[in-house]
Order: sequence, then C-alpha cells, then structure tokens
Amino acid sequence: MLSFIVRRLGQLVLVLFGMLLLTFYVSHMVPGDPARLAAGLHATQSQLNEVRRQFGLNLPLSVQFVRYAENLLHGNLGLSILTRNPVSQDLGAYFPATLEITLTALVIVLIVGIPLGVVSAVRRDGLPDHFSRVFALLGVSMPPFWLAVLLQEIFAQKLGWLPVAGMLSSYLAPPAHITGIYVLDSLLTGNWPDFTSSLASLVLPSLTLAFGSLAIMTRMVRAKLLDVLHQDFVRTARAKGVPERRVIYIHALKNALPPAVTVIGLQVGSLLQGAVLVEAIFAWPGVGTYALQASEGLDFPAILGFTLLISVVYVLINTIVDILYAFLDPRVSYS
Amino acid sequence: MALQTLPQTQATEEAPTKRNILRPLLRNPLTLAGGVLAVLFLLLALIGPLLAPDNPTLVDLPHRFLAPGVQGHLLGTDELGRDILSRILAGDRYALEVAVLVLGIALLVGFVVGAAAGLGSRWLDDTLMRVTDMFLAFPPLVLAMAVAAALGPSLMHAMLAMAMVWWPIYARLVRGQLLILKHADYAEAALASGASRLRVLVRHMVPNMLDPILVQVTMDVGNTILTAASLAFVGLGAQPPSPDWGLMVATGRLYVLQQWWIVTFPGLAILLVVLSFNLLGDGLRDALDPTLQRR
Repeated sequence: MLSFIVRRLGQLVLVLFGMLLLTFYVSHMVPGDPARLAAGLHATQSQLNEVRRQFGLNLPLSVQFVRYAENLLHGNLGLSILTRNPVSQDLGAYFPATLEITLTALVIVLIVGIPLGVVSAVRRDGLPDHFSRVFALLGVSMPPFWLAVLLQEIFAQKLGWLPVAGMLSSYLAPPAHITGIYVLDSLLTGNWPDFTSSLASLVLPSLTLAFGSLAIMTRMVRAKLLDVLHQDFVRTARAKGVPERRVIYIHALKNALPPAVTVIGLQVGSLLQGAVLVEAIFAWPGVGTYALQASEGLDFPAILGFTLLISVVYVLINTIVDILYAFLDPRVSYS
Repeated sequence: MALQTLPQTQATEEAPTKRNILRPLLRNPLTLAGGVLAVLFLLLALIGPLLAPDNPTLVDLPHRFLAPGVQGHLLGTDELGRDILSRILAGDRYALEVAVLVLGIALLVGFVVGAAAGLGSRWLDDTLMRVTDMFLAFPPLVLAMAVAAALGPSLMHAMLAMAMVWWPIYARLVRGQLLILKHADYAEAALASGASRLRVLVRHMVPNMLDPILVQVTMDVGNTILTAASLAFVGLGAQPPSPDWGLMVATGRLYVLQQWWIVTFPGLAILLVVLSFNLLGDGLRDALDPTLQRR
C-alpha cells in the first residue's frame, strides 16, 4: 500500500513538471507581441524595452522557464499584463466563485445521481429506468452552452423566477469576505438578502454545469449496482430473510459505491473545466471568465496561471481518488 | 477474444471469422435511430450544399429576422438575413470536416505512439506512456483554451489544440490492444515463420484491433463536434462568418427573446448529431462485444 502511494506521488511530480514545461512552451508560441500590447500602440522603442525588461521578455526562453519555475515554487505566477496585478492574487480573487458553482454542481450530482441510479437499477426496465436512460443520453449530448441559453430564456426571461446572470443582485453589496463564496459568507454573517439573492443566482449556472455529470453518475451507479445485485452475498442476504430495502441500501450499495468514487473524481475535473464555459455565459466572475478575458488580450502569464491552477487541481483530485480507491479496494494497489 | 464467445448460430454461410454485426445493430431501436441519423448527417454533409435553398453566407439585410416559414425560409433568417436552413446544412459539412481532421491526426499520432510503446522496449514503453499521461492529465477544454489563446483564436488553432488533447486516448487504446495481441498464437506463429515485425503488425494485429478503435472513433465524432462548437462559442474556434453551429448559437443568444429560432435550430443540430453518434457508438460496442449484451 505504501509503495503504491509513493509510486503514485512520484508520477504526480513527473506529470506536474511536464505540465509546467508544456504550458510554458505553448504560451510562448504566441504570434502577437505582448510587450506591444501592454505598452500600448504609441509606445516608443525605449518604453517597449522597459516593458520587456520588466516582464523578463528579453531573456532566452530557457532562462525564462527556469525563472518561471523558480517563482512558481514561491507561489509567484508573475504579473498579469492586463490587470498588472500578480496573477496569483487575481486567481485567488476569482477562484472562490468558480469553487462555488463547481461544488454546488457536485452536490447536485451526488444527491440526485445516486438515488436516481439506485432506482433505475432496482426498477430495471421500469419507468424510472427509461427516464434515466433518456436523461443520460441527453446529458452527454446536450451542448452545455445551448442548455444555458435555453434555461436563461425560460426561467430568467420568460418566467422571471431567477436572475439571468451574475453572482448577486446589483442592488446589493457583497457580504463580508470570509471564504469568498457568497452563499456561505452571507449565511455565516446572517446577511439574509444577500443569501437569498446569491442562492437564486446559483441555481441556473450550477444546474447547467451539473447536467452532463449527473447523467454519467446515474448510469454508473446503476451499472455497478446491477453488477453487485447478481452476486452471491446478495442472494444469501435475501435467502436468510434480510428485508429487500436493507439488502439494496446496506449490502449492495456499500459494495457498488467504491467504483463510483473514481467516477466522482473524474467528474470533479470535468465540472471544473465545464465551469469555464458556464461562467462565460452567466457572467460569473470566476477564473474561467478571467482566463477568457486574458486570452482576448494575449495576457499569457494570466493564461498560464489559469491553465496550471485548473490542471494541478485536476491532477491532484485524480491522485487523491486513486489513493482513496486503493484504500477502499486493496486489490487495486497490487495489480 | 470476442470471436470465440460469439454464438455460431447465425454464421452459417459465412466464413467463421466474418461476423454479422448488422443484425444486433438493427435489433436495438435506439441504435437503429442513431445509425440512421448519423448516416443522414454524413449524407447531408456530402450533398447538403446542393439542397440548400440559399447561399449560407449571403447577407440580405432587408430580409433579416424572418420567422420560420416566412417567405420560403423554412427555418427563418438570422440577424444578417442569412437563411438558417442553408447555414445549418453548410455547418454540418463544416462540423464533420473538423471531426474527421482532428480524429485523423489524433488516430495517426496515437497509432504511431501506441504501436511504439506496445511493441518497443520496456524503457520506450515507460517513457511514451509517461508523456501520454502528461497530456491526459490536462482537462481537454482547458488545454485547448490555452493553445487557442496562445496562438490566437482561429479554427486552425482550435483543431490543433483538439488533436493535442485527443491523440493520447488512441495511443493508450492501441498500446493496450497490442499488449494483448502480442501474445496471441497467430502473431507468434507468424513471427516464428519468418514474417517481419512490421508485417505482423499491419497484416495480423491491426485487423484485430479495429473493433475498439471503430467504437472509440464513432463516439469521438460527437465529442469533437461538441468541443469544437464550445470553443467557437467562447470565441476561440471558428470565426465569423463561418457557418459553425457553436458560433451561430453564440450570436443567436443576443436575440433569443424576440427571435428564438436563431439560437434554437443550430443548438438542436449539435444535440442531434452528438446524440446520433453516441447512440451508434454504444450500439456498435454492444454488437462487437457480445459479452456486454446483457447489460
């Protein structure tokens, strides 16, 4: 077990280094001149040189990479060319909003996906099963940006039940900063108007984000549970008179869920990248919105920072899930 | 492999290696629907532009915002008076071209890397797989965004980015298949009788790993179309005035309140094309691997 964890962590370091190299390389294939963009159209040659010196753009690529990696180890992602703030500070300011929709979507995926999967396995080929099958097909095929536009149209503009976009009604001041997650902060400080407004704003973006993963989660739980329900111990439990409810929810589900853990890990990653699209549509001030603005302005320290942040979180989650899974099912680490 | 477990009942007049995969495909109504739809999309990509009532990029301002059915525009016109049906038909070819190019590159690179890893030395295998892991570690859309953003937004760069994200999947698939096939009796027999390694790979191994590759490609046609449309939607893929479905949704959403048709039909087209290839891919997998049919 220990050697499995060590090996897995070794792989992690290797992958992280490779990522660093790749993102750095990609961001330097830029055809535009970022110094020109930062200094403005009417900058003189000496002003351009000053900007290049300031951002280290005049150094050889290899030196730039070593400097970048060095800085990174100190938590320094460089200066954003557009906002002129440290990228880490910008990302820190935008990340809580991304976390807010991602986590909410994850909660939706879990509390709806697992029961729906169980019901469609138990009532196999029944009405709930057919429903979940159609739902799953739509989930993996629906363009999320289109779904978002439809939801906005129906629930925000036609019915007027929910806000069209943003994190909070523009009439309200943001809650006192504790975590940066508005719903949580307003709840903790007892700021009732902010809480209801931010909760309402959260509904459409997180539903859009959850939709695809929810479909996958449901099918996964269903398939795993069907596997388990055919096994001997379930038959034994039934034969000795354990109530069916207990057989399904205690005996079977306990054995069906560990494989689903891997799927949850993968889904967190896909939720995180899906958040980029969803943020763009709902004007949600998260890192995705930040990155899209950065990409319009050829702001590569910012793009690099964003890509690294999301990728590192993605890889970390996958590593944690792998290790967690090895704990739940020790057979894995020996293979 | 799958060959031995296949029921022999239906293969009466055929050679034993030839399987009738059409029958199980036709039996499942969902697969049938998906298949018919997928073939329709492919056909329309070929002949669609001939059927299109109008030029898909022809700006006709006096006739903008026409509702579906008005003045012979079956699906209406957009904010520049372009016929939406014609644009959707042109977009079908456009989307499928992107999918074919991206998957072609991904398959080519993935096959070479996967074959080298699967048949090469232990050291080569380890190195190549670590590189593959590295690419797989990126969330695909995020890597594509980084590439597209760094190189500047264009369809070309979006396709390059997507190929970068997709090849590792095929490298893994090909390597995995080769690790199994390497020890197959017929491969060892061919090697022992003096066939070169390349010949064994091409003549004996490749035909035996086409099934899983076919399933993966079918599913990925839908996935690449979806990703390309997503990139176009956020402005990092195809650029106006291309008849890209994602782009059409992006501009259409500005007019969604009064002119619902501009955003609805291209979105529906994406949904249907992705759905059809997913259904077909699912059905193919079940048909090619009879052990899965009970599910």
